[in-house]
Amino acid sequence: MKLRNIAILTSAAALMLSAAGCGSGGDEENVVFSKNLILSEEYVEMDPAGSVTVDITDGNGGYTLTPTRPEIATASLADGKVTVTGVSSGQANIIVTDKDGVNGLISVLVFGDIQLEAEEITVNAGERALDLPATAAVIKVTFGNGNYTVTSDSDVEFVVDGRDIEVKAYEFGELTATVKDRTGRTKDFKIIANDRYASFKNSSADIYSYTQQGIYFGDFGTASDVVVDGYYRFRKAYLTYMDFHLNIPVTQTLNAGKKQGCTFYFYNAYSPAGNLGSAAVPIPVEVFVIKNDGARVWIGFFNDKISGTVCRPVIATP
Amino acid sequence: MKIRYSLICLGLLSLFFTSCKDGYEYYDGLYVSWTLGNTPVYNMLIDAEFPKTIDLTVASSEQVGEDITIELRTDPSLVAEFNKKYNTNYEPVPDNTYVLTDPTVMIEKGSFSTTKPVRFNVLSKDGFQIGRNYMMPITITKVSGGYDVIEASRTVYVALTEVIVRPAVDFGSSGYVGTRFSKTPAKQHGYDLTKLTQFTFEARINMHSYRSGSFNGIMGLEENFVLRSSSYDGAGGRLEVAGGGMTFISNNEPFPLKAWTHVAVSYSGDDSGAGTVTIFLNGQQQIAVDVQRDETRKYINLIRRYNGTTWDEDANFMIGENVSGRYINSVVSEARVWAKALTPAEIRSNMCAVDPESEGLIGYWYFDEMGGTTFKDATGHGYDMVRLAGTLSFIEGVRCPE
Repeated sequence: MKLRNIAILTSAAALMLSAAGCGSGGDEENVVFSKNLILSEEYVEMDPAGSVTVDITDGNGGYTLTPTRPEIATASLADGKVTVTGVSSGQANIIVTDKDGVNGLISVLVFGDIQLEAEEITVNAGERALDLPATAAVIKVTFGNGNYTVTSDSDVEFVVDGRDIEVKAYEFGELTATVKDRTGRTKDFKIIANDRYASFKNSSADIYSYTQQGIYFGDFGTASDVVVDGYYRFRKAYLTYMDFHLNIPVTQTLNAGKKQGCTFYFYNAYSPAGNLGSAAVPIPVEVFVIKNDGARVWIGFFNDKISGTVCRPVIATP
Repeated sequence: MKIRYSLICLGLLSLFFTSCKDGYEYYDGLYVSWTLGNTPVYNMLIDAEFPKTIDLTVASSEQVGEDITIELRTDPSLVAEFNKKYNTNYEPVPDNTYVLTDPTVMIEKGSFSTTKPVRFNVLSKDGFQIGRNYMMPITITKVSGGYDVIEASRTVYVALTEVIVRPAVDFGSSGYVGTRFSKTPAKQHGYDLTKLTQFTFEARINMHSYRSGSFNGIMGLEENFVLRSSSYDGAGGRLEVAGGGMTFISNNEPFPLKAWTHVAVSYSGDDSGAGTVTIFLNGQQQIAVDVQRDETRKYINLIRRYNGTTWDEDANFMIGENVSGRYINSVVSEARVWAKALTPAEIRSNMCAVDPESEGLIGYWYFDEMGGTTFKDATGHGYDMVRLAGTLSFIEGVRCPE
């Protein structure tokens, strides 16, 4: 009996300590939880002045509504139903709150005209015949109703990624494109498609330019264009201070089109640090022969640092 | 019978010893699933697209023996406590820009975590101010069944980081800017800029290349306080602080090229010229060096620099060059000068933007004036930066954080 009594007393003491020792666990059975606020719809859409009704299917009662942008959508409550009314185009939210402070959320889209961040976009056009790449530019839909498609009567490519429309043009001039959304609303925008080589193509001058850093050396120096080491080498040098080479493998020919395996070498003793410095070795460049009329050849070249153009007499094929 | 009573006792004693332990290091319990780390912070990037959401689950360190109901709530009052603990400056997320939905969740018997999430939604940034940091704590408030919560993981702190998108200026290979701190400020700041014992410079830099065999002046008060990258004598682009007779301070690591990098250097000293220079890259402390500035240059003097031949007592404080053509070939965004030594937490919290009204902020330049040659001081003190040399160009759409 003694042992039994000791055991009971020990157990009782342990229970008391257990109950008293942890504040959060002592009255856990009395914890009352708020119910989640359940709505029949969490997203609605409508035209301006249109309305949609959403049922509050579960919750704790005592509901209030807070429209985050009442200039776009408002809401009213009756018989456990929320009526959302469109005011003007845009996106908004209706926050539903019950007496326990539990929230539900109704996201609202009120349809409206498509809006773009700009009326026009400027790009450098490509030329398919010469394999010249187009420079892509992006125009953004700042407001619309989703599922956008873009068309144009001109030679333009579009890639739509959500609200971003990437544009690549393959003809020059002022072009027009049309954005259409899932509601059938449309919006036109203008594409100014430039020919980045326009001035160069129309020139017969002996142009060597080194444009990104503003170096221009067409007015002086000696041109010496030869075939050397398996390359057509277009070269211009000024005494011992400057030397520029554009090298095109002879296997690529000087016919119009994109060329592979080309390099550019430059040395500029006057300003070794102030400008691009000097490439110790020829550096890779993208090269496009724009035109070859049999007597002269027009060439564009660039990489991520430099770009330039060359117009020189054709070097004879070795 | 003896055995039965002993088992009851052991069970009850076991209950006693396991029911009241706090801290996840030695105790099982429930926790918000994001919070098992050094700092229970979830960073949410805020840009122009809304809503932003985070789904939170609650987990148990062991399978639960019965259905467990858990309720979470937002609690803005915990922000102050967080700031005090981590030396930060967050503010609660403004009202009506967020909601917490489905706050009551369940871990079903035999499971480890809730299956349906609690969702925190940020609906807009209406009322947000650029340069201020916002946070919303979400915490477990109720649990059924007597299950304990691991206190260190009861709350997740959602920190909202606004993505700043601005143009930036490209100094090219020979451009730089400067301002004269000698001018009377348009708005009083109360600091003697010729006798600073506390100082911080910070900027976001995207350097194209190192100058061969020379220095790349990020911020320059030559022979006074210079922050530069050095490619001199095989230094390989390492980050340095020099001037004022201080011990040579080098980070020994090349300053990153072709990557946006936040660089900060702070100085905390006293009237004797003794102090500490600390260098940070992307908010992480690199080195902290105790220094002794010499007697004639014991203060940081923002209007004094050696110009290569003489001391200029009304000097430009320059960004992009320090002296003698030691240009930085770089894009620059967000530069600031402070008359205080920022703490690591302050630097980390405000790498992309800071409140222009911040105490101790002397000059603040966004460098976002496309095509401009004058760059506004956002503090209102009037220390506008102007182009001093070179051709400046601009790039658009620089994001921070990237």
